[in-house]
Parts: sequence; structure tokens; C-alpha cells
Amino acid sequence: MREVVVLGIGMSQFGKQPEKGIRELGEEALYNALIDAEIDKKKIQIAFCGYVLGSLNGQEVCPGQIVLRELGIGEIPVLRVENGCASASFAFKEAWRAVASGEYDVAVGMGIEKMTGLGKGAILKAMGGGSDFELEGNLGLTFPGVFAMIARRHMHEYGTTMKQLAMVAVKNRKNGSLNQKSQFREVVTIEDIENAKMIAHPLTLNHCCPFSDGCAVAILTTKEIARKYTTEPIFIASSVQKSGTYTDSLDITRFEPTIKASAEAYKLAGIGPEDINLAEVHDCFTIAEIIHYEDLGFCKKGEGGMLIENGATQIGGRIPVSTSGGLLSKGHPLGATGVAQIVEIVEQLRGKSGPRQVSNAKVGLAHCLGGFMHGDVCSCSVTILKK
Amino acid sequence: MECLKIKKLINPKWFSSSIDNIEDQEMIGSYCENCNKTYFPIKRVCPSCMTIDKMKPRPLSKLGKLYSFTVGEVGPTGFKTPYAFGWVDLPRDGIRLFSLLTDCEPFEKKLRVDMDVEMVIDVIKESEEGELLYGFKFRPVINKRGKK
Repeated sequence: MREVVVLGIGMSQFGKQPEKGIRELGEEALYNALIDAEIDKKKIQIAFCGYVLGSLNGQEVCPGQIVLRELGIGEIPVLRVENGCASASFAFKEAWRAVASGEYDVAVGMGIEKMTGLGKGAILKAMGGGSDFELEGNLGLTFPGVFAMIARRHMHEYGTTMKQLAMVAVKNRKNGSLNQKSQFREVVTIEDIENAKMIAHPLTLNHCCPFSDGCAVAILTTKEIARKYTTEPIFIASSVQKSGTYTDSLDITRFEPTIKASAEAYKLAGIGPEDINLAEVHDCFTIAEIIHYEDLGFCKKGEGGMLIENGATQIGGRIPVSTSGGLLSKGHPLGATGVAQIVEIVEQLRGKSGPRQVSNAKVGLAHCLGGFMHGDVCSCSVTILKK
Repeated sequence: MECLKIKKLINPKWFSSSIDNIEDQEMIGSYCENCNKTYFPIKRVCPSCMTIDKMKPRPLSKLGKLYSFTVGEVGPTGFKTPYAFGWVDLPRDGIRLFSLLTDCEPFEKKLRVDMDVEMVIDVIKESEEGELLYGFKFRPVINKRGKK
């Protein structure tokens, strides 16, 4: 396999953007990525596009072609990748494989989602399709409910507190306030989070990521080709994907796919969790980020609550997490999130993150999850990037 | 006017075909006589030992332990909020079910992690056509004196 680098990155604004469809969101992100890469669009040979809720907004097929056409890119193979909320992470991995294998020299990994205007009940029902619909979604399961049950069990087993959960949202909202692309730009307090509308006991609205519109694009190529365009390519050290086992009696306070994917990703990159300078994780709910700290090896099992409380995961702390604002603040356009995480890590490793820059960042980790059924994650991706 | 509504099973393949009265229904799983594992819903092949001729229908245990729970203040179309749900382990069968919870208000007092719960057949939701869709739910075990 050939060594692969991220040459260019681009994002649209994230947030509620009723005036924009996937055409406009996609054009914005793709244009930004092409300008960032300083590469002729004719060099792109294949594209993979993550996208989830197409059935709700009419554009059920070929979202990637719609976006590429906006900038006059056609003829090349274009694939849609659907893997729940981790769709873009898997699109990114396929772009890596296309280049690493030697079949293509320049590939696009991207993701897109349009959620504004689809209706809350319809989105909740459609997202029930991210579970085993017959046995869970159709019987009333919701994702806030899943993570509320996980939170209750984590608090029961390890004494994790609601205050510690709220601190995750406070931190990520603060990071998001420093990110112009973030959906939420205002800081919040623990009291704000406690007083927000109850969604699934004990999680209030501010413990949950929002519905969002957005697109993110990454352009991948080989180390040799990248030399013609930049002196500072960002290397993909490893990228590992897993699904769940769905066995009965699983411990829901840990996600085995994260543990397995990260262990393999660390091994392939020749590093350990102590070498990670920053991470973007799948903080779809506050409790999720605490569990990811533990599963990714940033702290011991059961000590995730203490890790947020002692400030280790803030910018300036030992291991800053969700520096972009994460899903909780930057937003979670389902099919775009995985590549948006890559955008943040690349910007940080380039030293271009402005007020939220992590000093001396050399190695970053992106972690994304999609779907959840029978107590386990349906798709999980861990990617390690380095300077 | 509840009595005029049509009652239906939410998913007939989950239930016994020999029981007529909907409230008396039983949940039917598959028991593998080769490796002693139970599955729900019914399976043709045992995914553990891959045998196809030893899978027998068997009613699920009605006794469970509440692994975790929540009360949803928002829900998908068809569910009246707030509504309680959880994951229930059936120790005899070795399986975990996602289930709505009932007879548990106020939940702060009535529900706790790892408590004993029992299965009842009850309305899950109303269909778009206004039919009452029945399935399994769990509730706190009522002891012999009738106290919860």
C-alpha cells in the first residue's frame, strides 16, 4: 500500500440553513477544498460521498454527483457511502484505499447532510432506522433515549455525575464559540444545561447534539504528488473501521468497536494513546464523550468523569478533545460529520486553528460512530493523522 | 370509546398462533436444542452452532431484570409522551430486549437499575389508521400482597 496524505480540506458553514440545499452546501465545501489544495479539479479521479437521510428530502440517490456537477466535475466514478452517522468516515477510508492501492492518484472523501425543514417527528422516526427498526425503533426507541440509558448505567457503575456530563457540553460550546463554522457560537453554563428542556431523563436538550445542515470535503493523494502542491502535507498514519457484535448481556458503558478500532489504529501508527495531541470524538451526547475518553485510552475505565472535571480535555489541557466544538456545538449533519472531524485535525496539525489552536500539535485522532442496535455500535471509525 | 378500536398484534410472528385472546398472548422465541441458546424473534438457523434442524419455538420467560431505563419527553410519530422504556435482561433465556415500561409512575420512585420486572401484553402504540397495536411491555414485579 502507498502512503496517503490529506492535501486539501474544505467545509461549508454548519448549522440551520433553510435557504441552502445539498447543492449549495456541497458547492461551498468542495470549492473551499479545491482552493485549499491548490489543485486543478481535473486531477480528481474518484469521489466517495457520505449521506444518510436522502429519503426524507427527495435526493435519495447520487448526492455526490449533484455536488461535483456544481463545479463541473463529471465522468469520474462517484460512490454514495451510507453507514449511519459514520458515513463520511467510511467515505474517507474508501478514498484512502483508492489511493493507497495504487488504482487512483487523487481521490475525494466527503459527506453531506440537510436536516433543516424535515420535521422533528420524521427525523426521529428515520433515525430509528439507525437501530434494529423492527425490534427497537418501531417500539419507541430514540437515540437520546439510548444515551440516557447508557448515562444512567455509567452513573450506576462508576459514580459519574450529571455535573460531569454537563461539563462536556460547557467545554464543547466554549470551543465552538471560537469556531466560525460552528452551529452554536455562544458559551453556556452548567445551570443553562440543567435548566434546558428535558429530552430523555436525565438528559436535557443541551446534552444532545443538534440537527444540522452541512458538508465537509477532503482531497487525498500520495506523498509524492503532494510534494508538487505543498511542503506541509498531513499524513494518514492509520484508519481502522469496525462494526459491533450485538451479543446479549453487553456492558453498555463501553463501546467494544472503539476499543478494538483504536487499539489497531495505534498499533498501525506505531504509537499509543499518550502520543495523541488532540482528538475529535463522536460526542453525539455528553455521556458519549466521557465513554470515548475511556475506550480510546485517554484515561482508565470509569474515570472519564474525572478526566473532564480536572480539565485535561480542554484546549491547553493534557489531551484536548472536540476542539472544533464537536457534534454538540459545531453541529451534526449526519453524513458530513466524519470528514468535518478530519478538517479540524488537519487545520490543527497545520497550526491554522487561530484562537482554538492546540500548541505544538503533531498527532491527532478522529473517532466516529454510526448506528446503534442491541446495545452495540453499528459502525465505528478511528483515524490517526500526523504531520 | 377505547373499546371500539380494533386491536392488532404489532408483529404477529412474535406471538403464539394458538392463542386467540390478545391479552393472554405469549412471546415466542427459538430455542436451540443443540447448544441451549434462546433467540428472539424466531430464527431458522442458530447463529451460534449453525444447525438448522434443532431450533424449536419456545415461549420467552416473563421474568426480567431492568438493565437500564429512561423516560422520553420526545418520541417518534405514534408515541404519546412522556413514555418510559428500558433494556430488560431475561436471565433464564440469556437475552436482552428493548421494551416499553408500564405501571411505573412516578418513575423516580418506581424504577431502579437491576430491579425485577415482569412481562405484560399491552398497547405499544396506535397505528396511523387508529388501531391499537399490542406487544410486550415490562412492569415492576407485584408481590403477592399486591404491593409494588
